[in-house]
Parts: sequence; C-alpha cells; structure tokens
Amino acid sequence: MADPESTNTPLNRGVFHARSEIMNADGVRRALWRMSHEILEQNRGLSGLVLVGLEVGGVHLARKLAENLLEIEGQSVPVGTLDVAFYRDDIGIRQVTPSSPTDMPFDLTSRIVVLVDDVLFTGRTIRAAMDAIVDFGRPAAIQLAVMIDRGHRELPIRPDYVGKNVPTRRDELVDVTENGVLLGVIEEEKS
Amino acid sequence: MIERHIRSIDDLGRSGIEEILTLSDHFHEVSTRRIPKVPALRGKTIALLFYEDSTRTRLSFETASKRLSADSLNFSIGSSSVKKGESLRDTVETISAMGVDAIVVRHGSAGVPWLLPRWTDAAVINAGDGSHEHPTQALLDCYTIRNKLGELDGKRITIVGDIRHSRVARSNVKAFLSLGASVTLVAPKTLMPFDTDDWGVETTDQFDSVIGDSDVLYMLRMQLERQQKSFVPSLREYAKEYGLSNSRAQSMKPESLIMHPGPMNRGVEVSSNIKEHPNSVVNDQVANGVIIRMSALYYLLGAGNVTKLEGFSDE
Amino acid sequence: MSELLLQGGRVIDKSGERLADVLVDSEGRIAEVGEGLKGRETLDVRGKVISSGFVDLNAYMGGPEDQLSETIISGAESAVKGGYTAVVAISRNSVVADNASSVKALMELSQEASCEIIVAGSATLHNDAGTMSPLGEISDTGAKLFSASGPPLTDFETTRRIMEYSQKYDITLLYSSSNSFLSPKGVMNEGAVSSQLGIPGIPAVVEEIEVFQLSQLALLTGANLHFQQISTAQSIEIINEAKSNGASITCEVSPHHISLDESLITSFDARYKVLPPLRSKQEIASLKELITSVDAIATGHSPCQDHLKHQAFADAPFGTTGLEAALGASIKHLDIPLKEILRLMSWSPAEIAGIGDTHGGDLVPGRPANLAVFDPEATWVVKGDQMASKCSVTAFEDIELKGLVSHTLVDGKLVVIDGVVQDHGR
Repeated sequence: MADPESTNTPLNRGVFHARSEIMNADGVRRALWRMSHEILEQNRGLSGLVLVGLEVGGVHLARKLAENLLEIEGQSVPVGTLDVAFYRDDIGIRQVTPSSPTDMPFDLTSRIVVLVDDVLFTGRTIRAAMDAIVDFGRPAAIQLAVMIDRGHRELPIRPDYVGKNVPTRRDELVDVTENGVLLGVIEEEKS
Repeated sequence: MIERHIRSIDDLGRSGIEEILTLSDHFHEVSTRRIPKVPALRGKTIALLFYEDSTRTRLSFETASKRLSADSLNFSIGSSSVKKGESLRDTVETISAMGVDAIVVRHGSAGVPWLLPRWTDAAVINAGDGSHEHPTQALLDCYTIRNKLGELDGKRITIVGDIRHSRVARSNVKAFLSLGASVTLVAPKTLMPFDTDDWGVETTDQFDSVIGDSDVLYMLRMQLERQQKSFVPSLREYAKEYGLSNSRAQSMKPESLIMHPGPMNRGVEVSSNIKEHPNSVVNDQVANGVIIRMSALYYLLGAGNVTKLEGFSDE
Repeated sequence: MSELLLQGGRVIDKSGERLADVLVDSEGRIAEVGEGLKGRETLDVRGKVISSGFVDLNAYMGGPEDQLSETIISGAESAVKGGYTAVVAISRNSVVADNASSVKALMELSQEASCEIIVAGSATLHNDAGTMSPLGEISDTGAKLFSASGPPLTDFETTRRIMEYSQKYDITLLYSSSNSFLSPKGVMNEGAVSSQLGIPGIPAVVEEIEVFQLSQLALLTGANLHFQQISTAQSIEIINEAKSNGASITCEVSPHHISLDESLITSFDARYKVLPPLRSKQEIASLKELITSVDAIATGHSPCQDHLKHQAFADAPFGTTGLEAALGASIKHLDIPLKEILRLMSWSPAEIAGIGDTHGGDLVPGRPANLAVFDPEATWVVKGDQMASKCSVTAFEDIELKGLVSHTLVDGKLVVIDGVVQDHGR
C-alpha cells in the first residue's frame, strides 16, 4: 500500500518503483512487538485503551498490535477504524476519495485513544484524525503510533511510538506491509 | 479543473452511480454518529434554487449541506413572478455573483439544469426539471435496492403509473439499466410516453401479468389533477387497474420490494396500508435521501471539481 | 443614380442560365443584359450568380412600437442582407392590420424601408378571432394578402364565411397550422426525442388534419389559400391532392424545417423552439423529396427580444429569425438545381404575393432592377450577433450554410454591398 499521506504525490498517475528495502518482514514484526510493550509500559496496562487504525495503512497494524497486546496481557483491546477523508484540509484542492467506511462502534469519551498509522509524514492526516476522534467523544488522551516516521512535518505533531525513523526525500514514497518496508518513487506510467 | 454536474443520470454513467453509492456507505456511517456532521465542505456555498415548491427535496438538500458543513442559500421563486420580470439568466447570474460552488435547481420545465452552466461556473445538481429527470431520487432508489437486495445486476424492476409525466421514472429507468437491472413499465397508453422504442425497457398495460416476476414494484405517484385531462376515466378505475392493492401484493415474490417516491396517495396508486407492508421500503427511501444528497454534493465539490490553489504543489 | 454595370456574373432566371453583364440605368431599371457591356460604375461579380431578388411571403415585423424586437425598418435590413427585395410583413403586436387605417400606417412606414414591404392584412379582428375584419375596406388600401390564422377547429363557420366573402376582392388568405388542438401544451415535435426529454409534444398529424380541413373548405368555397410553413410530407401530399381537384392553393416551406431537426433540442436551447416544431430527420428527408411540388420557401422570420429566449424551453416564445440564413440553408440542404431554388425563393413567391410585375421575373430590359448577387459556393457559419436583425437569437447559430449574398439591388440601388447593409433607406 502506497503511503496514503503523500498528498503531494500524483494519484493514479504512476506506478510505485521500489528503490531500497528499509525493513524486512522480521523487522516489522519485531518493531510491532516493541511498540506493543511500549504502549503497555507508557499506559501502565490496558485499562481504558482503544486502538484506532487509520484507513488504509494503519488498520492492519492496529489489528496486529491488538493481537500482540492480547498475547502479552491476556486482555483484548477494542480496535476501531477511521477514514479521515472528510476531515482533510485539501478537499477541493485535489480529489479526496474515502477508502472504507469508518467503524467506530464505541464512545471514545474518557478513553485513551492510540491512533495507528503506517507512515508519519506532514502530519496533516493525524490533524484530520484528531478532529474526527473528538466527534466520537472526549478522550482522556490521544497517542500516536506509526511504523515509519519519515520527517518533513508541516504541523506540530510528534509520534509516541515509532517503528523506525527514516530520512527521506519529499518526492519519495514509503510502502509499508507485513512483509517489510520499501522506499521508492512513483514513476509516470508509459501509455 | 474537472467539470462535473449531476443534471441527468447520463452525466454519471455506471461508474459515477457506483462512486456515489460507495460514498453513501461512508455518509451512512456518518449519519449514525453522535455528531452526524463532517467538515468536508467547509467554506463551500450551495444555492438551492427552487422554482417549484418541494419542501421534502429542498429540506433534504439543505440538511445534506449542513451535515457537510457547507453554507446553503435558499432561493424559492414562484413561477408566476418569474414570468413577469427576471429571466432565468438574470437570476442565475445574480446567484452566481454571490459566489456559489453548486446550484441545486428545481424547475417546472425540462432542461433548465442544462442552461445554467452558460451563465455560471457553479456545479449543477438537478433536483427535478419538469417531466424530464430527477437524478438524486434515482440514486437514492438504487441505494435502497442495493442495500436490501444486493447488486442490481439481473434484478427485474417494474415501474407502475404515470410514466409519461414522471421525471422519477425517466431517471430511474436510466439508473436501473446502467446498473444491469431489467425494467418493465406498466401504464395505460395515455400515461405511457409516446415513444419508448429506444429506452431498452419492456412496456405493458397489464399490471397483473408482471407482479409475480418482479424483484421491485416501483409505484409512481398519480398526479390527481391529471384525471381532469382524461388521462384516465377516474381515479377509482385507475386504482382498480394499476393500484397496488393488498391482494396484488400477495402475488409478489416473498423478498420483493415495494417502493414509492412519495408523497403517496393512499387509496390511489397504493392501497391505504401498503406503506406499512413488510416488503415496503418507503421509509428507507426517505431516510436515504439525505445520505444520497450528501454523496452527490461531495461527489461534485469534494471528490470531483478541483480548484488549484496558489503555491500548492502537485509534483 | 448613375448607370451601374454588374460585370461577368452567372445570370439565372426562368429562361435559363448564361454568363452575362447586367446594365442598370439611372432610372433603376435593367437597361441591357449581354456580353461586353460598358457602364459608368462597374461591379465585378465574376463567379457569382445574378438573379431576381428574393421574395419572402412570411415575416413578422411591425410598427415603430415594435422596435425592441423588429420593426419594418430593421426587418427590411435583415431581408436585404439575405438577398430579399420584397417581403410580406405580418404585424402581430402593437399595430394589428385588422382595419384600413392601421394597414395604411404600416404601408406609409414601409416607404422608408430598404426593400419593398407588402403589408398583409388580418382577416379576423385582433380582439375577436371569431369575427371577420373589414376585408373590403382593407383591400381598398391595396392589400392582397390576409393572414387568416386563428383557431380553425373551434370556429369553422367563420373560416368558411371568410373564404366565401374574400372572393369578391380577389385576395389570398394566409393560413398557418395552429398546431394546438391535440396538445395545447406541446412545444416540440412529438416522437422519440420528446419522449426522452419529457417535453410535451406536438404530433405531426395536427398540422395534417388542419391542412386537410382547410383544403376541403377551399374546394367548397373556391377561395385562394396559401399555407404557411408546411412542415410534413403528408401535408404536402394533402395539398397536392386538393390542387389536383381544382383547389386554388399554394404552400410554402421554411428553411429551418428542411435543415434543422428535433435532436437539437437535446440542448434545451429555446432558440430551437419554433412553430411548427423542428421535425425528425426522417420527416425532413420525406419533406425534401416533395420540395419541387412546393410553391415557395418562406422564412417565417419571427424575431423576439433576446432575453425572452434565455428562459426554460417551455417558457420561451416560439420563433426564429431566418431572412439572412434562407439562401444558405436552401442551397446547403436541398439537392435540387439552383434554378429550382430561385423559383422557390423568388419568382414563384413574387407571383403569389401579386408583385410579379416588379419582382421575380426574367432579367430583361425595362424591368425594375430588383436583384440579388450571391456566391452559391461560399460556405459560412451563422453568428446571430452579426445579423442585421434586431434579434440575435437564431436557430441557425453556429450552423454551416452554403451560399452567401454579397449585393442586393432594390429598384437599381445597391442596398447591400459586399454583405454590408447600406445605412440609408431607399
């Protein structure tokens, strides 16, 4: 899945070409275990905790974190999914199309919400996500977990849990799957 | 700039219809929230230009605008005052000068939504033009059917009543066929369009012969004033030949749907308690109205027509 | 006025076609037609056709009060730009030609027009379509043509009486189909397109029924009838049948009915709203096959104020301008010899209008020089805002036509030079 936060990349107008592998499948798995432990440690347990995966890239990571937490603590953590399309600040500037309907079957009031996404880039997706979250209640706290922090922040947002910090060029793209993390570029398709 | 309008189902085609139905799944979820509102169209202005009274449709668009955080402006213009003074062009240019992003227009004459883009840059949504089209009604009907019966491909849909004067029928025929359903029109010849050879539908004046095969019975509203023009001898005879009575409903397939665009003439096109029939989805149609109109507005102003900002890099 | 020589044109008239010069004398008459002529002022018209000027039997234009839409003065400018030297003017708005003094007033105004204007009287009273106007008094002014269109089906008796009474004065009654009795709300041709668009239709059979009824009354009474703007082949066949039975009937077809079809209305542009309505492609093809039995091409030129056409299709008035597009539409869309087009546009309507002595005849010495000079091969695209008519909304907008008038002479005077209307009157 190509980085959904790359607002600056032309959509549907090219093909992702990988240039290098940043993490392999084991690396991703180990980072998720570490992040699970950090979440537990930071919050002194799982009480009141919910995971919210951002469509599309954050959803499978949130589910994986929930599996890990169940295995570590023997306690299941609710997982919601959130599509932030309708909260984005670039609607009307580029075509913004939602991916999958939001699934948030619980009130977030007084919960600790851990937002989960694959890549943190400009921070604009997370800004949109925080606006959306407060429409579902008033959380006690919002935290942020990302697999890759690639820099180039445009808003005062920092992650609480990071799989890996990766310096990138703006025009590059980061692709995160369970099989690993690739760095590459979008190249125009030859028609 | 992507030019998008929803003047006719033809403006959408199958892919456009499907895009709007998909968006509707999202807005359906939004409508279930504690705060059923998103900031998607903040700063956008939507003009509701209604030359015909239609409280239901206007409120539905107004609510949709508000739930998308857009501002809406109401222009309800009686048709008599129009004939005296301002031309349509003057009115549209005036509204356009106020800076609107979309104009939702209803007019008693066919074709008005096609004239608007000559005089405004706003996106146009047809909320009913004469006996021509009413695309958002067709979209909400498709959405209702899809939610109840699954994809429309291969479904048999029967539309009954005053097809000749019905904008709902014209838009629905196009939408249903686009999505792969087959359509049968049922009406006495006086209420059937003069020439439907190119429509790709079956036509009949024998309602009873098609009830048992239909997945959807779509009952059109009978315009009560029509009977004075000898389109039918009497509403009583119309109800007997073409009304959905309880006994006719008994010959429906068990999972078939009963639909009606409202407002209903109980006792004419449907018997008095049909709305409460277990197969009736009339209330779902109403509930889906706001959702579909959110999708239509977002399709034009969010997912569709794009304005370039100074300094915004697309590279 | 000095001598004017039209040099090197293709002269076409009833007697045939030849390459010749046409010399116009200082009295405004044709002095000589032949080769190698000399004149004081010379106009090179090589490659162009010289013919008698066109005669329109059906154009709406009125008195000074109509200046927002079209007066006789502005209408005449539109006419001469289209190669017309005479126009039958039907006044429908502020001045209604249902009495002798109104007709006289219109005739006086016509003296200022840049071409000859034949004022048509009205055969019924404006305020009461069921009452005959004073046909005798009006015909004393010289009027020979009377617009008799009313609601024929509702009042047969008046129609019959008018036909009977009219014969004493040797006048011709002009009828157009009301197109209304089967579908009072109809605004376009009834058929596949109207069904698709949900626009109330007018079936072709309405015109045919009315034409049949009036033809039978013409046979019964012996009146002279001229049918305006016939738009279906079946109507022409009914007229031909009545003619062969001895009825004194003529008929005209309008340029837009042979060139523009109903599918244009899918744009919902009210410029295409005309009465009779634009017909189907098939109907147009059948109509064109019968064109040689038609007596005239007439424009039905009916201008209105532009803003009235900027309305919903159903709300706008009927009508289009046509004087400036008539020749181009006819040459482009009729697959008949040029001479036949000139019969339809010039000499046959001149006879029907009763002005055959001065218009439409052969180009021979002694006749008034009412002439049109045009390039039959020139293709051009119609732009309403470049028309001389006050109304810039036309059904021919952006349509490519073939055949363009460059010069028009009315009584020997050049009123159009290189397509430009000269701004002083006759």
